Amino acid sequence: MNLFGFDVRTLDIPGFVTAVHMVWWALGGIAVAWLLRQARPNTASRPWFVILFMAVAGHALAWFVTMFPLPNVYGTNGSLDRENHLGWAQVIVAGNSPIRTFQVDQIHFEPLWPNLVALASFYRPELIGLVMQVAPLAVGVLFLVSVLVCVSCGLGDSDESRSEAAFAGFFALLLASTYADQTAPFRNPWALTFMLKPNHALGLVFTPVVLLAMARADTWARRVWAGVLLQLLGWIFVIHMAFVISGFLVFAALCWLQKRPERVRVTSSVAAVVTVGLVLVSPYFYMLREFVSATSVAPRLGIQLQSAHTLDGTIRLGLVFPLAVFGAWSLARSASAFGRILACQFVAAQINWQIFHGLGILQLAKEMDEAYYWIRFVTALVAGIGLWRLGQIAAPRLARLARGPTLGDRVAPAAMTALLLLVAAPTALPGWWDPESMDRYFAAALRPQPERVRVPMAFLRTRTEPAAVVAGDRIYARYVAAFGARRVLLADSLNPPGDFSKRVQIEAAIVSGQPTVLIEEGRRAYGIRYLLVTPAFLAAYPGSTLENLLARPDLRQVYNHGSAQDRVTIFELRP
Amino acid sequence: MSLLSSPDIQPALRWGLLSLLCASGWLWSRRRFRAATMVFLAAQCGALLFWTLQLQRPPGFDRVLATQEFWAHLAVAHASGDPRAGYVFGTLEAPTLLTRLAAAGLSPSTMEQAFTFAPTLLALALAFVGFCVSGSPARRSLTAVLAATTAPLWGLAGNLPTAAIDRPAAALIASLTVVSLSAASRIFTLGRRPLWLSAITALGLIAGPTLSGVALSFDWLLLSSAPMAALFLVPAMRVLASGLRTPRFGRTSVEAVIIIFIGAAGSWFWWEPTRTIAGFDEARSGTPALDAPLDWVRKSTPKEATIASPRVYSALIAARTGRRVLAPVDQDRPGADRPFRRARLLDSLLHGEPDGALTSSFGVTHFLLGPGDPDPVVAPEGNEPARAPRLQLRLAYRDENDFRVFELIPR
Repeated sequence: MNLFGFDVRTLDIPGFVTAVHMVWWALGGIAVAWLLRQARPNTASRPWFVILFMAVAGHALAWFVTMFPLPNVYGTNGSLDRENHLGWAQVIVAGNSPIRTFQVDQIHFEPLWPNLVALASFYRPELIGLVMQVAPLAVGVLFLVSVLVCVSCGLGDSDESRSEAAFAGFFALLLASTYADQTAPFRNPWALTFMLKPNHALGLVFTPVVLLAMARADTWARRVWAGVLLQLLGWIFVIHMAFVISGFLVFAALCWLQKRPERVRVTSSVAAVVTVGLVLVSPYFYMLREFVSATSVAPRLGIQLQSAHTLDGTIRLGLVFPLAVFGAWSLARSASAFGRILACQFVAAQINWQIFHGLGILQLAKEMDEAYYWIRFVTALVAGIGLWRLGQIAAPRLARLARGPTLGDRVAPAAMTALLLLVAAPTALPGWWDPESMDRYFAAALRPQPERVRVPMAFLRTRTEPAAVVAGDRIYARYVAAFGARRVLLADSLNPPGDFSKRVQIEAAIVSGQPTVLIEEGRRAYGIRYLLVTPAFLAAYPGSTLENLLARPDLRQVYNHGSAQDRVTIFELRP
Repeated sequence: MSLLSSPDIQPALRWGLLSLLCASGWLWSRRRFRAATMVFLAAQCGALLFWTLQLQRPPGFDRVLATQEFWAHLAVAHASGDPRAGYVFGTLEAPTLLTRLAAAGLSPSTMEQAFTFAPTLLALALAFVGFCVSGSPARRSLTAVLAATTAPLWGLAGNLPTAAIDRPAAALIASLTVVSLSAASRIFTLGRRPLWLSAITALGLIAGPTLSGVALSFDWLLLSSAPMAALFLVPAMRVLASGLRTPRFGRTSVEAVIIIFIGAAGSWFWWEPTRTIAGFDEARSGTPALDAPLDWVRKSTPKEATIASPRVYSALIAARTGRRVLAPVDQDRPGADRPFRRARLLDSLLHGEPDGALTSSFGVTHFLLGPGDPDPVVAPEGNEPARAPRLQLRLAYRDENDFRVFELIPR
């Protein structure tokens, strides 16, 4: 059964995908026809509303084509991140601490999202999967609303600025990804952000709000308010906060470069907002200290000097990139502070991307995927504004050249919107998105959940106390949280906790049966009640066998299932 | 070729292609439209050939059953001279244009080489049609460029290279059809009926899959509409470019920017078939171990021989040797009659005691085993009831990879 309660085992997925593509094309045709009809003289119209509708419909169609065929939560069976998200929410709903991960007593590094999921599911575990499935749709729509409101308010709050904002949202959501992204280093930004990590997408929702607050920070009270919003963005997703701050710094620098009269005020505004934001978010940085090591070098964090890294952040987007360059240029010369801030976010994203190339040569390019998605969304957003403004420049000339509907000496806005929609819609995501061939997380979630996970976790969920902590297989631990709703002593899918070595000693003591003082400490300090073993886990402890564990008086086998290779055995620790 | 297959060379490819696109844009801004189009198409063909020239075998040959069976039919048709001959003994297949050509003497290896160029030819064919359907030189060139680079126009069908490599026969036939029809039409219409010409293109692209025996699909139909789409888009684009021109930045300069970035967003620019086409990576590597025993079979057995083997090798044997096989790879494949008798004969071969009557009824002359397959073992004769006459297996070939071919001889 899928999210909607349909049996999808016999669904013809290629045919279904094609049908959804055709719906997009049909919607595009209807939208263009409606706009042209509205372009008649004396017809009142709100063309921006059509663009907004198309953006919502496009996102919903792409979400639908991804989620409908899935019998499992998107990302399960294949994504550590997604299973971690499930686990975080599960243990909170089970009544455990809202600021700690499922690795017992570990302070959370992304505490907001699992609490939101728990809240949205009314703290009912059976609704968590549903919320996780619907969240990408909701966050995408919120993103559109946020862009529409903030960009239109920031650029003048007129019909024209609303059209700009609608195109900005349309582009940012549906044209930030391209067909060729299936072979890109970090794959499809829309899928990897909105589908896989809606918690990061929530940062995108909040970013326009922060930018608007910054643009209006002309008094000290407003600066503090902007700082408060900035720190909130940090709590949502700290990497987005860092990118936004870099954009603010470019904004201040641009004011000096342009020799604007307000450059001193802008600089002090930026300094104040960033300072307030950093101070307020500093407790979070303190919590992060055990997760982040900026200087750790790893080959997987490396980029070759001659790589096509620069092209990935620029021309891979095709015509969207020159449109963004034009949009940024146009915004940077405008009187609107918000427009200049947007332009500076685009410039900062480009600079950051090149900095990542340098870091990659030193094998220090951490979180480069997030920089990639950020540059894509910011570029596409600015490109949407660029397209609209190009249309406005061309409008009077087009009115002379075309015999179509005109408004005075210009092409009617609805006709212009129709023309621009014709340019943008054919390459938009819902017209080509094929999750089966382009998204490995979709393919993984299509597979039924393995029995070695489903059956033991049903036991844990229903037959053990919610506060119990499970020690044992660290790779399997994420299933314990995601599907068993129980916390674990150690999990490979999360960063090692600060007392990692102590926990390893306790784990070894539980497996070997001595020293008992460590086992007792594990029970008392960490609440360990169960030991979950698999053949792979036992292989890491030479000399330990299932028979040895069965013979121990301090362990009681409560569950045992599976074949020799994938057996899962759960022991209860006796006092 | 080993240099091309190195992952380190791919960034250089992308930078090289971008340089060519920039050169094309520069030529366009200088109003040298034809030269710009040539450079643009050179970049596109270079990108496609970069990958396809690395192929040692058809992509998917090692992993995709449908690909193996496609080549098996062609090889058997070529060897037997019968376009209807199925690769499994006693089966018949609907003849296609390709099997007719194979039966008439066109060798499958020649077809393999031709198919290597299918994506490039299709791109050039679409460009040619685009060139034919428009009027003025600039408009003509722009249509050609857009028609050849379908990705930014039609996302769904945008993956032109993959569509062509998935269905190379269709791409090849469609290319030849549309080019010849368009050229002929242009002579007669002198460019006054571009819609009609585009319709011919679409017909050619639809005819490709049909004539080559592969199913039509929605993405292929969309691909076929690329020249028409380009035809409609070019006037709008030129009007937009006119609207955006400035005294310092003329219309051709605006068009040049558009051309560069359309090329850079094209599916061919970023195409990485090793990550999107099943079996492409394997098809780039050298000769697999199976080629040696199959070469021996091709050289040492009569054309009408039937080869028995574990099912997994069946289509590969037929594709590489042109010999028919006893059993299809897929046990449930329709067409192979007497499936239980085939299974019984295979079982008797594995036990080293081929049933004489069954052997002659299926024409089996050789038996191939691969690494890991145990040698046939003859069960000790006891007080068994009278049995059907048995044949004997004689080892005729064995190599270091433990491939073995046995000849069936009378006891």
